[in-house]
Amino acid sequence: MVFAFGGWSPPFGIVWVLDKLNVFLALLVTGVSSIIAVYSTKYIKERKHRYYTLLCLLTIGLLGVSLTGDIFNLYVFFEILSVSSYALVAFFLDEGAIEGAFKYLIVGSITSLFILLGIAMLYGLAGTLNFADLALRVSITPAYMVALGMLVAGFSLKAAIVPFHAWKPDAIEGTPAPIGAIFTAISTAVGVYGILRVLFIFNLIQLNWVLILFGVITMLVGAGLALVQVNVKRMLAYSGISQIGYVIMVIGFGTLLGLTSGLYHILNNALIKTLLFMGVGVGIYLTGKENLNEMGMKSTPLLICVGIGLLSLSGIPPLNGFVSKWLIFMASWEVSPLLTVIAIVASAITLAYSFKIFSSMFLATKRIEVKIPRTLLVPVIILTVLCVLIGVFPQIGLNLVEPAANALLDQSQYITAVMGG
Amino acid sequence: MFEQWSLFVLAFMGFVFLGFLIYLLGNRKSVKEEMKFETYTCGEPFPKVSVSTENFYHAIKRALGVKDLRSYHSGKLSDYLMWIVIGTVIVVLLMVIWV
Repeated sequence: MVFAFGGWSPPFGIVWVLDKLNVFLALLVTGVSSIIAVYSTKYIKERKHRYYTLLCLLTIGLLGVSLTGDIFNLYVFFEILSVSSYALVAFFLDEGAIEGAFKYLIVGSITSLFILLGIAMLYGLAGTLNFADLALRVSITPAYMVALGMLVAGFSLKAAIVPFHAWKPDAIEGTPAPIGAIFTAISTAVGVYGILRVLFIFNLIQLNWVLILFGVITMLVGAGLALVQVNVKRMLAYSGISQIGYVIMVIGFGTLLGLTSGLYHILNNALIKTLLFMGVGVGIYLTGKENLNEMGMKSTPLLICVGIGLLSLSGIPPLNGFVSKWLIFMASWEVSPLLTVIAIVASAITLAYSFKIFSSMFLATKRIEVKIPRTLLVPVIILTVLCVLIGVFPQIGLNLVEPAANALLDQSQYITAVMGG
Repeated sequence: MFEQWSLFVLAFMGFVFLGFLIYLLGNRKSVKEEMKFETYTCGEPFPKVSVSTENFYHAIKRALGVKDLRSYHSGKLSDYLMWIVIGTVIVVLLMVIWV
């Protein structure tokens, strides 16, 4: 489905395109944002009108990036989401929040600069900004590759791929827990989408050892650093970095199975990370603490929900995390068994830090009895049910991600839909 | 892709149930011999302990060299920017060389 703004036909006007990949991402953005909007009604105690304005702006930015068919329009929406993100990180206005927001602002500005430079180079070389038209005009020359490199570096910063990741734990530490969920679950997915779209333009969705290398490093560094964290939000931030490493690695394979498993893992990571951020967010809301040593609490429903989320994150069957990880193992086995072994090691480290969270929250010597408000608990339960449901019936997720992976591999369908026969 | 999935899930749940049964049976037996625990620990009362979050996986941290990795995350913005510049140069160079 193609919508041309103002009746200007592409490539002259801006178009929004709904192919199966865009639909997948748009569903993810709207689904997670809606659940977070409900959860935040209780979690955010003051200045709610500002919070919801910023949340809506963030969602609009994410949706715009997902749906646009014009690379400069993508940059504009990217800026909208970035500016609202900086304000949301600083929302609590305490020392940590301001520090995190400032770092994010500086790093985010550099991200924007890289992307803008990449777009300018592309426009200078190809003379168009429309994705489909670009795909018809680009050629594989060093000048184009520099533009591609700038765009990949810019989107890697958003996706928090190592070594572009350092801003993320600092930003998430200061931000409200539900916004941490959006950053870890959706913003990174949008960064990965950016990389995918750029590779799509260049018709370079094929075996790419650069992406595989960065994916493996991200996976291991993220997991290793999550293991040593004491602040629960920082730990989940590093965990998010590690999970994106899996996605980048399998995207680098350039196969249908690789892309399917990568997109499936984006879906599962979004569900699990939102569940976990909201789950530990309940703990933070009730205890006022973020240090794992001080978060001991007694609550059976939260224990079950967070427990399922952590098991799913570690890839334990029959939960959704297992399905995508299993697909990732299969995809990596096709390319190199060594990559499968590395992915399994990273999963083992994930299980280790997941146990640390569970043990500190629910098995600590000092635990306080808590009563959880229904508005906070219901969204967490909904996500828990989704994690189990997709794990037991994996076809639900597969029906969503397999067409998206196919759409990425078949460039001609997109080009024909936008540019006409 | 998931033709035998339901069979797998059933088998998994079956094993979980079996494990739970074994746990229940084992637990019932250990309750009867509660005093034996004290003799094993030389008679002294066994304190209720839990591992501090700081010390969790201390040995693994040292073995994997995670502490060294951590030292690169100084929290200083200038260091972050240095990593970004290094990363960008590497990405651009690899992209040009790769093609």
